[in-house]
Amino acid sequence: MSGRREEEGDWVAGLARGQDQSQRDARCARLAMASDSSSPDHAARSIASHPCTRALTRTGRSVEPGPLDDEETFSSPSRAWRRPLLSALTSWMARRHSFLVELLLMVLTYVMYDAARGLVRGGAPVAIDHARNIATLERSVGLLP
Amino acid sequence: MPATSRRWSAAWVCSREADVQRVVGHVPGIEAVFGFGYDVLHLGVTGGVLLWLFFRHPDAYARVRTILLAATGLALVGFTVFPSAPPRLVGIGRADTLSLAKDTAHSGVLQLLYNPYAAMPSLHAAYAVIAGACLYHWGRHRVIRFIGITYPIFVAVEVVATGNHFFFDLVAGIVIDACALAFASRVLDRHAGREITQETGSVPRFSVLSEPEV
Repeated sequence: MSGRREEEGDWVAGLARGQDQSQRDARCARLAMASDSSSPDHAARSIASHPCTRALTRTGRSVEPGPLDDEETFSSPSRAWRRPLLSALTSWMARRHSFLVELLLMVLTYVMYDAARGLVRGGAPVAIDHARNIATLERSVGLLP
Repeated sequence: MPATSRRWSAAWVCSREADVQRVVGHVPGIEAVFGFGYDVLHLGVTGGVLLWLFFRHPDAYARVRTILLAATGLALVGFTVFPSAPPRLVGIGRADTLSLAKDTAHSGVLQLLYNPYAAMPSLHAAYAVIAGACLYHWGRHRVIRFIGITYPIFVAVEVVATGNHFFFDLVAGIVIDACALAFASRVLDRHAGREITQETGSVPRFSVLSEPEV
């Protein structure tokens, strides 16, 4: 189990290494199978109840059981809910939708951006101080007299 | 490079930001044009380019829209982390040519949400570079491609001349463009990879009867 914890702790490292999503999903399901493989029924129940398997089932995707590789990293089951959400978001963003939907998206985004920009308004002294720092930097490279 | 040449080239580059407002001030009516451009062209041209892509280059639309959204999000992070006043409010000798336009353009609720300390990075420059790149890349007519080159330059002069941004704000705007491009490429290419994997069926079905190879 300590090995599993180490493997789960490599979630961030896996992301940093840019592993493919499907590879991570497959490894996560293999981890579930390997962790409780005392009997076929037990293993099947464990795999069926595993968050990654549930997430994959919801998205209609399938994975292949394969060898566990100590060098490979594993997705954290506790974060499995993010994958279908991100996957759905990226696939939605990758498509061109109807004109009305796109228009609504851009208008809503701009309104939200404008509101958020107003809400994150910094204090005047800090903002002026930052601007003076930029001016000093520009003077140092000769952009300002 | 000889020291004299280096001094001259530095003086030429550096005098532009310091003197651009003074030079522009000598051209009658240009301040009004820049003020109008600052408030209207920013969204008008960007929206126009998006519309053009949507109808004429649908394959490119989703990518460009995602880049724009990512750049907007990154700029918001910049405004939050590093609130910065525009040069016209700092007292370094830049005239506030936009104050009148701001009074008319931002009224009521918009005035409440208006954030004057959101100069770094310059979203005007970021949007202009994206719009210009799209016009240059997908424009078939020579005039459109020419506009694609000149529009970002016009916006750069405009935002500096109106005292709204430092030169470094423009650089930061271009940097967030690059980050947004990298982000959008990574996200959309990963999605494309998944689509290909699913279409070709290279990922076999999962079977619980298979023994794990531990």
